[in-house]
Amino acid sequence: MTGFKPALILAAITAIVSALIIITYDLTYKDTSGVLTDKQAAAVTAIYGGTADDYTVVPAEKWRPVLETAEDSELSRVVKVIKKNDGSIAFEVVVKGYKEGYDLMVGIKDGAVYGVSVVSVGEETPKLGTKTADPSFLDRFKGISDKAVIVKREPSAEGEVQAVASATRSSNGVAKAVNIALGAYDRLKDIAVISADLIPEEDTALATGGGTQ
Amino acid sequence: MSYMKEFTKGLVKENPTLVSLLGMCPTLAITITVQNALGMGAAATFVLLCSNIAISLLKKIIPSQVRLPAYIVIIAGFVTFVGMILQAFLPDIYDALGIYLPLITVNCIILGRAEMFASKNGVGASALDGLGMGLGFTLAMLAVSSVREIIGNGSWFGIKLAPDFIQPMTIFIMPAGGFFVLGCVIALVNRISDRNAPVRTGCAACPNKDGCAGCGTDSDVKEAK
Repeated sequence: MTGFKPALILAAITAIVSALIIITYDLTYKDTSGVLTDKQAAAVTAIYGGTADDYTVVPAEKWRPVLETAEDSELSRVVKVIKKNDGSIAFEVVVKGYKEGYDLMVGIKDGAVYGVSVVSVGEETPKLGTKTADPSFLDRFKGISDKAVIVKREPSAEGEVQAVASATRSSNGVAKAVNIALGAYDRLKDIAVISADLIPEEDTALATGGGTQ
Repeated sequence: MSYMKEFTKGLVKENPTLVSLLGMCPTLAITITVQNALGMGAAATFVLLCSNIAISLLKKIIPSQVRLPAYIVIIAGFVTFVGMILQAFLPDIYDALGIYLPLITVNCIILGRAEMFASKNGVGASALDGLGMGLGFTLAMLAVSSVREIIGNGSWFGIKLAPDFIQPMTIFIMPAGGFFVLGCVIALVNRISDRNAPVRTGCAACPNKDGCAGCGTDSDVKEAK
C-alpha cells in the first residue's frame, strides 16, 4: 500500500487546489456575453458618439447561426454585434494581428466602414503593433465598402490602406477585422435584427407577455 | 542565519535574475515598458511569497517522489487565483500582462525557490526568502525596462522624456535590444559587486549550490568540463 501513498497525497493536493480555484472562479466570474463592457462601450461611442445607454447588444442567437453557416469560416471571429438606437451597427471582431487576440470594433453604415476603434490591443507589441490602434491609422479605413487591402506604399487604388511602418502584421490584422465586419454586414443586412427594426425583439416580447398576464 | 539575511540576499547577492540567471523569459519579454515590468514583478512576488509559505507548511506532508508535481500544482493554483482576481478588479493590468501572467506558473524562479529553499526551511524564513527574491526579480526587470523604455521609446513609466524630433531607437524594445540591455545590466551588477569569474568552476562558487546538493559532486562537474 505504501507505493500508492505519494500518488494519493498528490491527488489530494490537486483536489484541494482545484476546489479553491472553483470557489474563486464563482466569486469573480462575470458574464459579459450579453452586456456592453466599459471597454466595448468606449470603443463603440468612439465610432458613433452618444453614450453607452444609446447602445444595445444584439443577442448572439439572432446572428451567430447565420454567420456560422457561411462558407467563410473567418466570419466566426465576430464576437458581438452592437446596435445604436438610431439603427447604426457595429461589429466587435477579434483577429490575429502579430498575435491572436487583437480586439477591434468596426462600425458599418450603409455598407461602408463608418469608423474603426480598438477594444483591446491584446498582445500586439507595445509601441510597434499598438501604433495601429492610433486613430490616424484607423481613420484611413473610413468609407471602404468592398475590401480593405494593406499596401506598403502610398495607396493608389480604392480600398488600399498604407500600413504602419514596422507593424505590417498588426496593420493586416486591422484590415482583416474590417473585411470580416463588411462580410458579416453583407450576410446580416437583410435580417430584421440589423435592418429597420429599432426595438429589440425581446422588449416587445416581454411587453406583450406582460400584457397577457 | 538571521531572518534579515534571508530577505536581503535576494536583492543583490543572490539576485535570481542577474546572478542565478533564472526567469530569463519574462525578463526579456515583458521589460518593454516599466509599467509592465512592475505589474509582472508584483504578480510574481505575490505568487512566490504565497507558494513559499504553502510549500514550507506542507514540506513534511509532500512525499519526495511527487514533490515537483505537487509544487507545480500549488504554484499553478496561486497563479490562477491571481489571474482571476486581476481580471475581476484590475483588468488593465490583466490585459497588459497577457500570456505572461499564466506563464508565471513555469517561472523557474518560483519553482527554484520552492525546491531550493521553502522545502527545507521554516515558514518565516521561506516567506522572507520569497519576498526578497520577488523584489530582486522586480528590481532587475525595473532596471532593464527603464533602459529599454527610455532609449527605445523616449519615455519612462509612460511619461514622455524625449522631444518629438528625436526618433527613439526602436531596436531597444525589440528582442535583440532586450538581450543587449540584459547583458549590460548583468555586467554592471557584476562590476559593482566586484565579482570576478571563479578561477575553477566548482560548486563552491555557485549561488545555487544549496539546491543541487546530492545531484552531483564537485568532481563530476570538473570531469564534465
